[in-house]
Amino acid sequence: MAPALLLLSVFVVVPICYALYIAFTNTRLTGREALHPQWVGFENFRRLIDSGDLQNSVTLTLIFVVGSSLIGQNLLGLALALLTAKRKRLVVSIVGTSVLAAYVFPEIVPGFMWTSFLSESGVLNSVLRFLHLPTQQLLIDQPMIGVILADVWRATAFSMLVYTAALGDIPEDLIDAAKMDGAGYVGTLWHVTAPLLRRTAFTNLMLITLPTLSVFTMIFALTGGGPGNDSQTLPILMYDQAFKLQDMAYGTAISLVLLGIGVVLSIIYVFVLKPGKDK
Amino acid sequence: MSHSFQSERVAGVCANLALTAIVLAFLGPMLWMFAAAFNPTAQLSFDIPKDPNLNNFKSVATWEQLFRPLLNSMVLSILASVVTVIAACLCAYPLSRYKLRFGTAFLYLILLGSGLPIIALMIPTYRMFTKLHFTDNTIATAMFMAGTSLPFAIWLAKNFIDGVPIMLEEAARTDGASTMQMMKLIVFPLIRPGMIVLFIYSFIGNWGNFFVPFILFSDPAKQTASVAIYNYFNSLGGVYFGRVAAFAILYSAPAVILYISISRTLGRSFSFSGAVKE
Repeated sequence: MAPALLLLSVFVVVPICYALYIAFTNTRLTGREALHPQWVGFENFRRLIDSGDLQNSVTLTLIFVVGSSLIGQNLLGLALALLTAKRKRLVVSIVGTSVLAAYVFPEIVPGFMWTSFLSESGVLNSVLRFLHLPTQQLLIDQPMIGVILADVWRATAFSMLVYTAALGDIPEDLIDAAKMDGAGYVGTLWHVTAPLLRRTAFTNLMLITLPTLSVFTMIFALTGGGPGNDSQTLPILMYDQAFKLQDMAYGTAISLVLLGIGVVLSIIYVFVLKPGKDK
Repeated sequence: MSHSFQSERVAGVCANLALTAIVLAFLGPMLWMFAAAFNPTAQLSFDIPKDPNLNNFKSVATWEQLFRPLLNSMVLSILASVVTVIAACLCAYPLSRYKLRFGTAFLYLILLGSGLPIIALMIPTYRMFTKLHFTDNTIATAMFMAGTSLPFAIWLAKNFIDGVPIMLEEAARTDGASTMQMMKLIVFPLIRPGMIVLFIYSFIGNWGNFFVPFILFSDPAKQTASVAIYNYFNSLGGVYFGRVAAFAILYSAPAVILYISISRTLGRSFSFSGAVKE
């Protein structure tokens, strides 16, 4: 166990402790405060609240996590699993391959694809024009909707796989018994399938909300947090402050907020799932 | 009977229509990359190439633009993934096999750790790296990537080691095998499929990682493909979108191929039922 414990201490525990120190100093990326930072107490946190940066970014992060993972990936993944459940093998493999294809590209590549897709004369506007519908410029008018759509597109495959596997585990006889008793499709879904999927849904939410909380690359590539700070979620705000504006300490204070949200969510999930009891 | 048959057919048609719409929505955003890569005059807009050719691939195929970043990504990803797999298995084996004093507490911590937003560790890590002169150091960066992906990797490794029947090890013990012999002849061959899956899974993650190399490398000679392609996209502006698309295809290929390779073996690698007689 020694190598793992060493790596975990040096690269996870030490940075967390170090962050707890930096956030209370005036450390900057370059210059005098980079070499000899001073202790400033809660100054960074006070600024974070007073400037309104925190409120804006926490709200946007919440919108992003709820919109992309809780609603988007989760429900679309479930819908895909239910829709493909009884279809022909060819249909299942066409659907599976196209949804999975979006998932396997390295993070930054979907960023380029969606930059083009949503651009002035991209594929989406061509289709809208063809249908005589008004064209969009989401990345300028509604950047949060743009980045949420792109992230749902990229990550839905995971939820689809999780729900497909869970549906496959439901014994056929249960479904048949419900049908015998006169339950329709909706009745079976509500009274048989849904209760059996509850635990899967919870595990799935844990596995998708936490990564969505720290999505950086997709938003960075699509909007860079803009226009203005209209899509500046916590990871983007953290990067902008620490590296663009060179205020490392302020950026670290933002990291701690992000870390805090992650820890609270993880603790909730761990307590509900109780790993020891069943895997 | 015929009524329910008919309503089932209507439901089937509706499902197929919905699925067609979803498939089109998933394929739509990919179109540009494939069209632009073969179009020397590609723009950010979508155009079907009039004279499709491989010029974009030829222009991008230089050491500095393409091969060096790909090689850097390869070295970094392999190094990080090998360390991840070895450390995770060495840690997961005793967790799975013995009742350790703090075993359960440790497992809870590991599960908690796998949910932490690693991105929040980047600023302190960057500062640590500059102080220790580790920036632009491939080995240090690989260790960081391995360390931060360990919680999830240990969790996965424990799950597949749990799936290997302990009876085989007990039988080997009874037959007088030493610990080393048992590890080499029984345990390792049995967990190898799981290790390969874990390696590929972690390799794909490291290959696609953008933020870590973006922060921890500044020397272009050390830079990985994920960052090189981003800089390429930004610095060239609208002039060479076709080349960016060609680069994106070449950069995505290893991840896509590896993904296909594990999606086939994932199901098979976890059945050991043939080895134990009930």
